[in-house]
Parts: sequence; C-alpha cells; structure tokens
Amino acid sequence: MELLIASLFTALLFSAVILWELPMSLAPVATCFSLPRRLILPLMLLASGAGLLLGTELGDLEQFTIDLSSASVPVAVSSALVVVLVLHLIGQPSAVLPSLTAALVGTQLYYGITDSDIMWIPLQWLASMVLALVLGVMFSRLLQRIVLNSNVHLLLKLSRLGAFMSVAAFVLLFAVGMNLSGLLSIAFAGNLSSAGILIGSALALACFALLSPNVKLRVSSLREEFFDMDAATSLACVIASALSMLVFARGTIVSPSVVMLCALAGARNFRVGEITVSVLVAPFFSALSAFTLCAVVSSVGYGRTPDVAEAVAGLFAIACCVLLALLVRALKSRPAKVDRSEDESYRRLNELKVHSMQVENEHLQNLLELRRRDAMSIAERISEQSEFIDELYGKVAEAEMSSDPARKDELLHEIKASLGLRRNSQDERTDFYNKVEALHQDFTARLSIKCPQLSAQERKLATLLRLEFSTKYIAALLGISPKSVEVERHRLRKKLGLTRSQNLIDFIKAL
Amino acid sequence: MFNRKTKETIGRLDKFFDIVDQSLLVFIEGVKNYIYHNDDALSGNLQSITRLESDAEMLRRDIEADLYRRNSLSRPRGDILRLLERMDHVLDTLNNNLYQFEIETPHIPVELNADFLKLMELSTEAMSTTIPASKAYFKTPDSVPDMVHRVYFFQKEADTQAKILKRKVFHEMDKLKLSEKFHLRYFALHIEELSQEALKVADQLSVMSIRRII
Repeated sequence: MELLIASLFTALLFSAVILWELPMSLAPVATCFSLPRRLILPLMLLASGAGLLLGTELGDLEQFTIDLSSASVPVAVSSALVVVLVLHLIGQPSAVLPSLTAALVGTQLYYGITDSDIMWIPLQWLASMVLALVLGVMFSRLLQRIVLNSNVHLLLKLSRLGAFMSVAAFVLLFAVGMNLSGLLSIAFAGNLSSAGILIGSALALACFALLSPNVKLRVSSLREEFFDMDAATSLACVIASALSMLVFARGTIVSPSVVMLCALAGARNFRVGEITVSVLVAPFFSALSAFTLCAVVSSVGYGRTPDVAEAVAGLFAIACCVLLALLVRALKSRPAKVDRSEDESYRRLNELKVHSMQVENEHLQNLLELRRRDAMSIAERISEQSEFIDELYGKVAEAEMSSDPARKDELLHEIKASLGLRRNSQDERTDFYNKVEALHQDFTARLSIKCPQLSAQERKLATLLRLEFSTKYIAALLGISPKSVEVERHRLRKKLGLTRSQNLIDFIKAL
Repeated sequence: MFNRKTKETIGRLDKFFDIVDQSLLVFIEGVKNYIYHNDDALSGNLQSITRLESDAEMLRRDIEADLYRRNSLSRPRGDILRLLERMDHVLDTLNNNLYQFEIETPHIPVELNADFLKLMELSTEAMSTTIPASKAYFKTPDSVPDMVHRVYFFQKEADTQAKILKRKVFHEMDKLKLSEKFHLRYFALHIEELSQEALKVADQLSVMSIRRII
C-alpha cells in the first residue's frame, strides 16, 4: 500500500516537473541545437535519467533530515500542486519545486521541527539564483564579444554554437536529473529501495512519454516568449544555468526553471513577474496551505476540533488565495477591455472599409453606366453616320447617272448643303462637353463657387484646360479657331487675376 | 562531422553568389554584343546565362534544403532564404532582359549607344556591389552598411542616366517614330530595373545586418 501511494506521488511530482519545470530548460536549447530536432527530447531525457540514477546512487536523499511522516508528504505534495495549478489556471505559470519545498517547510514548521536541513533550502535557492544571474551576465558578455569580433562565417559560427549548446544542454539536464533525485526520496518518504528507484524511473519515463506533446508545445511557446534572441545569448543562459545547477545538484532541491529565469535575467531579459511568482508568491501560499492542511489533518487524526489559531491561519490562507485570484483577474481584465476596445476599433474600421468599398462600387457603377451610354451613343452615331453616308451615296450615284445638268446641279447643291449642315452641327460638341462635365462634376461646381464671374464658355475652356487638352483640340471642341482659344485663355487669365509668373493650368488644377 | 556539412553549405552559398556575379558579366557582354551587332557572340551569351540561371536554381534548392535541415540556423534562416530569393529574382531579370533584346531586337541609334552602355554599367555596378555586401553579411555584418551605401549611390546614378536617356530619346531624336521611342524607353526601363533590384537587395541586407548586430 505504501509503495502504491509513493508511486502515485512520484507520478504526480514527475508530471508536474516535466510539465512546468522542464520546458523552461529546453526552450533555449531548441533555439540553437546542432543535432536533429527529433533527437532533442530523447537525448535530454537520457541525460536527466542518468543524473537521476546517479543522484539516487550517491544517496543525496539521505542528507535530508526531515520528518517525512506518512501524513506530511501527501499534505506537502498536494498543497504545492494545488497552488501551482491554481496559479497556472489564472494565467501565472510558476515553478513546482520551490512550491513543493516551501510546502515541506510548512509541514516541518507545523510539527515544530526547525533544525531540519530543508530549512536551509530557501537560502540555497537564493544562492543558486544569484550564481545563475552572475554567470548569465558573464557568459552573455563573453560570448557576444567572441561571436561579434570573430570573422568566422555565420553558418560555421552557428554550427559551433549549436555543438556547444548540445554539450551545455546535456550537462544542464544531467544536473537537473541529479537534483530531482531528492524528489524520489520525498515521494517514498525516505524509504527508497531499488524497487522504488525502478518504479520511480519507469513512472518518470511514462509521464514523459504521456506529456511529451504538451512539453513540445510549451517549449515552443516559451521559446517565442522568452528566448527570441541570438544563439550566443541562448547559449550563455544554458551554460549559466547548467553550472549553477551542477553546483547545487546535490543535497538540495533547486528549481531549473527559476535558475533559467535568473540566467536569462543576467543575459538581458529580466522577467520580474515570473521570478516573483515562482520564488515568492507560489512558495508562500504553498507553505501556508501545507501548514493549514497539516493542522486540519492532525485535528481530524486526534479526534479534536482545530483551535482558534489554526482556524484563523486556515481562514487567512483561504482569504489570501481568494484575494490573489481576484487581483490577478482584475489585472487580467484590463487588457481584455483594451482588447474589446481594439475589437470595437477593428469593427469600425471594417465598417468604414465596407462603406468605402460600397461608395467605390457605386462610383464604378455610375462610371459603367456612363460608359454604357457612351457605347450606345457611339452606336447611334455610327448608325446615323451610316444612314447619312448612304443618303449621300444615293445622291452622288443619282447625280452621276443623271443626264440632266439642272438635276445634277440641284443634287450637288443638296449634297453641299447637307455636308455644310453636318459640319456646323453642335450636337457632338455639346454631347462631348456634357460627358466631360459629368465626369468632373465636382470641379465644375467648385469653379462656379470660387469663380462666379466666369461665363459658361470660359468655364468650358477651364474644364478643357484642366484636362490638358492642346489648343488645337480645344479649338475643335469649342468650334472656334486656335487663335480665338488663345484670346479666350488671355481673358480667362485676366478674370482669374493671374500674374505673369502664375501658370493658368496649375492654377485651375489647384482649384 | 557538422563542420564538414556546414562548410559544404558555405561553399554552395559562395558559389551561388559567384554565379550571380558571372551572370552580371555575361549580361554586360550580351548587351554590348547586341549594341555592336555581334549576333553570334550574343547567342553564346544567351546560352551561358540560361545555363548559369539553371545552375543557380539548383544550388538555391540545395542551400534551402541544407538550411531547413539545420536546427542551429533557425533564427537567421528566414533572412538568408529571403536574400537568396531576391538574388534568384535578379538572375531571372538578367536572363529575361537579355532574351528581350534578342527577341524584340530594338533599334538603338548609334548616338544612343554610349548612353545605353553607361546606363547598363551603372545598373550592373549597383547590382555587383550587392554581392560582396551579401558575402560580408555572413562574416562581417558591421561592414554591410558601408557597402550598401555604394549600391544606393549607383542606383541613383542609374536613375539619373535613365532619365537623361529617355529625355534624349523623346526630345532630341525627332527622326525616330513614336513606336521606336516607346520601344527604346521600354529597354531603358528593362536595364534600369536591374538597379531597382539592387536597391531591394541593399534594403534587405541593411535590415539583415541590423538584426544580426542587435
């Protein structure tokens, strides 16, 4: 039964570590790794497994002189996991191991044991964090200098960095595995046998196999969020955290993700929020909930009701949890409002876009209608021209066939008259000008408002000048001579009050 | 083991840039041969440029496959691939432009030979300056801005020369028909397009070098 419970807690602990601790260590490794991608996870697992087995062989667990009674382990593990899970659910991912250690400290405090080795663990955390920070600063500067000052080809440089990254990652994961051997001792409450080691390793492997898709996803998201940096800085983070973990691999439990966050802070990316939640908030609440839970469990075990201090502590812990959850929710609702306002802005923008497209479509429809009318009028004109030519052709043929000179003269006169009539016809010109006016309605309106002194003929001239038609064309369109166009232009300039230096067309265009 | 493969990729990259450089030289020769009516030599140039383009295409695919295979190159991969695409586009432009000369056989008056040659030299100079700049991106990204600066200069000069040429065609060559003028303008634009491509490569390199230094 004890073995079963221990196995259950081992599985729980390893799942939590694999899900919330391991991805942070793997994220920088994935940015620059010289081995094939599919080998990353199995090889890392091998390294951490080797570390784990060596750690258990060296018997680091025996160094913990803590009271691992059957009640304290489940209380500590469940308190820590609940706090981490709650924080994770409200969007504040935190490290598992600091919470677990703090929960253990909470149980020890409840039982009044203050000389336990585990009480020194928070100090060792601090030391590991400071070491990771200092090493992060040192290695990032050193590597940046080496990488920037060397004239080696970029690909070769990255390949070498990738090889170094692989070695550093192995060391890091080995140290992590070695450090985690302490977890087995906690889960098996100090009674770790070879069967326990085997069961623990098998469970770790099974948890890993089960959670590897989630781990991969988390590694990718963490890489995007934290490690969008050059290969040299990522390598500096991994080396710093590997060395720090190696120093503290034995005799204590150090969180790899917190160490990595500190190394990252040293490298250049200081994430206060994540470090605070992992190192202060989660452990504080874990210790508090473990202490309270111990009180409740003991009271139930001894068949007495909890005393006032225990009840107050329990209420305080619950109140703190609720307040924290409310605070986080309140903080999180702010961006949601921004998001809503952004959504609103996007909606308005889309509406405007739709409206402008509708207007444009309407304009294009009008233009299409105009073009259709143009086509119709061209067709009408072609048909009219054809009738006119046919009529002329008939008259010419009749004149040719006629032997009567008087009739010939009469027909010639008729042809001449109809041709003359045709030449002087204003219809086409008026039609053309109407089309121009229809296409430039706004300009005609503006011209009438700004220059009311202009005559209709001058307004026509201004419109044609705006289209940059030559004098020859304007003369043909207005039915006057080119010379007259020049005179009209001169008059227009005078009416508009333009000086010699001012260009008439530019002035009209600027209207 | 890793260094050997990386060195192979580096070799391919260098070869790719060398092919772009060779294609530029072949293009210059081709246009000169067209202007001076050396038809046989021009057909030789066309064959060479086609062969170079297909070689470059194969190399580019190999390099792409190499880059995708290597995990350690995940960050600069996008930039390098974009640069290769731009260079490949330049090769396409060179090939197409030279073939346009052979297909459309534009009538270039002797008075305009010097102007066309000058425009071509400036455009190709702008493009050829991007090749050492591209190579420098991989080894000394600090020196890229200095090299890119030369590209901008040559591009501006090519732009000015193109304007001079077009003005000459439309304002001074009265004996030419409008269709011939349009045709000449079209070819001036073809050659000028090369300097525009060089400008795009230079912009890309500027951004890439900044991203590497940061």
